Amino acid sequence: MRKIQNKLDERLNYIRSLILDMGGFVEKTIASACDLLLDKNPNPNIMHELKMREEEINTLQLRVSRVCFKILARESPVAGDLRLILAIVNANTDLERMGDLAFNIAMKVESIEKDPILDEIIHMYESMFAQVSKMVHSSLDAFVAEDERLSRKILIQDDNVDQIRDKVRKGLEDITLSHNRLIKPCIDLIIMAGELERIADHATNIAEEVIFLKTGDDIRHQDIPDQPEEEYKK
Amino acid sequence: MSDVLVKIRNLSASFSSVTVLKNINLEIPSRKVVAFIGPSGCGKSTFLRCLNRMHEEVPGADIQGQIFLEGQNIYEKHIDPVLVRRKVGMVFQKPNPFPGLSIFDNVAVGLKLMGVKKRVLYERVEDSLKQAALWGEVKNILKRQGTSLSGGQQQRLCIARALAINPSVVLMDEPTSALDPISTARIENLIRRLKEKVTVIIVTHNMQQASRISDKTAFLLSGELVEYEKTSKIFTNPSEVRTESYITGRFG
Repeated sequence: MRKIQNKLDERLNYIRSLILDMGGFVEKTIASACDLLLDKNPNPNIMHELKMREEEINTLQLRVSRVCFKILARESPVAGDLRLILAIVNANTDLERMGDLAFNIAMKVESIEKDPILDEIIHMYESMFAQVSKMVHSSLDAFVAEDERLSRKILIQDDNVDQIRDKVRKGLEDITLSHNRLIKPCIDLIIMAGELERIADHATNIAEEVIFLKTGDDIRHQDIPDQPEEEYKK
Repeated sequence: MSDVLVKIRNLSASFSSVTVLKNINLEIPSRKVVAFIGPSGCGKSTFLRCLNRMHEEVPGADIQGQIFLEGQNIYEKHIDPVLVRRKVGMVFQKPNPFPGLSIFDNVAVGLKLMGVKKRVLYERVEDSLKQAALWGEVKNILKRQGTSLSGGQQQRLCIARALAINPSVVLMDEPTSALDPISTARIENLIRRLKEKVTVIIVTHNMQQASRISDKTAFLLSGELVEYEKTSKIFTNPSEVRTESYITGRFG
């Protein structure tokens, strides 16, 4: 049989590139939020730039979902193509949420009143940010390379982030008990830790989507049994 | 697990010296829809024609191997092909009602040949037309020519004709390729219902049709059975690269 140049391949490559653009913006926003927290960002227009970036992510999300919608309607993809489209549709939602969360974190960071008592905790955030950024970056690498092994590593990294979040939360709870004046920044920091952890969850989702794309196995919520074939036919 | 209705062992078929089916082995379950897909010339239609012993009618055609229908090898010497075709009905690509016969007689003709008594004939014809989802449209015009119906109705008439003699299997060779989407949808719904009573083996070039209506799908390529699996598996995660390439349109 001879190989046919497939228009669908071009379209799939195009939405893959849009997904990567979104991922790039998300990574930058996370990095900016971290710099703000550590007072490393001297750019006075940073919040404006972050807002523009967030809107750019929203625009890309719409473009991806519209192209996917048309491909589903007009090309009736099956097998690997169908799994790729489903993975892209899901990753698209994940990335948009990650963008929102990263922007929320940056906004909170900006309003947090710093205090030397919080320094040790903030130092823990630095490692949490580093872990989450690494997971987001790896999830995008895994997505592009359809790398199942890398995806499985990301699933394990998620547990590390959860552990740091728990430690951070415990430390902040202790500070609130002894320093009433720091209740507000502590609450903001606890919420931020939750949001960072959510970003890691979305990166994990993308890793799970890569495994589905590569193997056809849906590894989410493995305690729920597979739906019997007869149920589909109803 | 469903009962096996048709068991195919080492089936090879050829025209003159050209081999068109190469050592096919598979089992077709009872009361399911099984689709055969593959590029033109891959042997799908020949496969169907082996199942009701029509392949041997072509001069120079040869067949080897065994096909067991309900446990009986239909290629044993003492088996009458006409009796095989009573068990294995066939519907073709182009609707082919018998010209010159009424709607009623198109369905009744096989029953008359089988010696079905006149008093039950009407009942059997009505029942077959109902099974083929055509009764409501033709019950008041049964004396009209079968060929006066629309293409979709003619095809359902052919299905009714095939069902009238109570076959175990109905073979369909691209039954909707000459029909519009509405008539196609009617026939597809009909096929889904038919499997309550019979096994349907359908050859189709329409991937979506195979994925919509069949329980199992077989992919044939150059006379070889490449993959035979549950339809949901074939269209979401086939095991063979050649299957994936074909169904995603990357080879032709």
